[in-house]
Amino acid sequence: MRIARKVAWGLVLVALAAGTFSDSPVRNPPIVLGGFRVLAADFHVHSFPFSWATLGPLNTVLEARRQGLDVIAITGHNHVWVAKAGRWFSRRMGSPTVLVGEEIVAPRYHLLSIGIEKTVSWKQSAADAIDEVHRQGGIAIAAHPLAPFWPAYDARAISKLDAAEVLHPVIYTRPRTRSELQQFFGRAQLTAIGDSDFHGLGPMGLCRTFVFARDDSKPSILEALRDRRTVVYDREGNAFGAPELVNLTRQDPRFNPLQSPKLGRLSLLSRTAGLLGMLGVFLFSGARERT
Amino acid sequence: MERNAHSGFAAITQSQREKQTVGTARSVWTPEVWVMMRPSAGYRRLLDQPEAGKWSTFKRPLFVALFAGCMFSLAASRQLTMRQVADGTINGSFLLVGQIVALALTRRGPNISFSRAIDLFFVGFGPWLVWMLGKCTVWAFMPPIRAFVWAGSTPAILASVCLVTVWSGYIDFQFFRQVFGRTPGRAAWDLLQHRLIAWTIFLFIFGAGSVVPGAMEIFGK
Repeated sequence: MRIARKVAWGLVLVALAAGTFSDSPVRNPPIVLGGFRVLAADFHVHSFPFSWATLGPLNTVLEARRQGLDVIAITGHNHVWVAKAGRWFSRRMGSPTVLVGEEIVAPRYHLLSIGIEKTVSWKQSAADAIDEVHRQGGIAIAAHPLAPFWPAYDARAISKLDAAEVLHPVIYTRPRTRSELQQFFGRAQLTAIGDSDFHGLGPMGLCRTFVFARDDSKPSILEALRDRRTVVYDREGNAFGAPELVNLTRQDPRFNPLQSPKLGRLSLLSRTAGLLGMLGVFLFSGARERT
Repeated sequence: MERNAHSGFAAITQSQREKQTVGTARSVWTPEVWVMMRPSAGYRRLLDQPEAGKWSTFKRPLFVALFAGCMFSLAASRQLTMRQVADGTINGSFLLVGQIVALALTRRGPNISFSRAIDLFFVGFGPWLVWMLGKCTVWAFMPPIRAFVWAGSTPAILASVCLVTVWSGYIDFQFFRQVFGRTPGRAAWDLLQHRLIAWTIFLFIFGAGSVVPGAMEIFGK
């Protein structure tokens, strides 16, 4: 079985070579609609450690480039230092724009605070947390606001909230949650957000937000979110967001709401050889055994 | 050779058994597979093997970390890339350090070197490796939305994790029994202590930011 094990390790090496060779960032041609640059964004991205994520901040940034995202917010669970590390990497690489954020994970609500610099405590009501986010010049987004979280968003909190996730991968695993997200979004004049809640499983930017900003700087992006200049598309082609911007995207043939990197033959070779190789290395022994 | 009066079969004396253990042969399956399928017999068989060099202390934990790194890369980008495998291997190794610390704290007085204990303990990771392999096959080959439906649903994750936790718990129970020579009660107690220490470290490294509010959310406080 020594040969089988050698073949298995060989497959792993082939997979690594093929995957690394085909690992390149997607560069979207800039699209300008209605006088604004259209940026693909994912405002709910987690990074190792402390947030149940597998990729470190450097690889999170590289993966965002690979998925064709212009903007990401790294939102650690109740901390911001990993996001700051991600921003440091992105500044050295030139793209994408990384906004420092936090997912405030409280027992009764989850709130994304984007564009902040200091950790916002989870030991307070949603309304008070939103006030703290605004004091830091940030944007408060209700993260996957499913029915169990609704009581935490009382009238006071809703009146202060800037945005809500109307599209999130949870709608694909639990279809009834689609209407819950839409109902919450309809409770006030909120900015429409689509996020992938990336933890390392599945592609980053699977659900994404198209932001209509003056440029890809942090102030322009936050200004666009405050002015509700976003469009979100689900996989069925349903759109959420400012109606005039939705019309602009529908009329422009260059706009593709389902952007994702094209996985070619090298990628297929990498995943096939990689899985077979790892299975072989797990199963087949190459060692001598005393009998 | 003496004939056994009760069974009628030829009884093999200890000296004859020792003579028969001369020489080596290749085994088809890795020790991870033996131990996964028959933990008790698997560990006895491994204990019968000569101890490998100092390299064995790191070899198997590194293999588990590399395996995790490959699976993290497949799950995130549907291919193996050098950058993600390296990153995932480093991040995964924090989990293994927690396991080793827990093993060091639960190992009291066995007549086996710590490096050998580490090597044999990580042989018992088979169920988790199979679980990762299965999960990442779904992420790597299914379209993302279908993969979320298949592998991303909370009940499916919980059910599979429960199954693997019980399976791996039984393997480690046998590790404490066979390798450290514990009684069943003591092995169960050591297993409990080990899990408590290792999982606390795991929870801290991977989820420290949300453990307390998350627990409060689950228990409705």
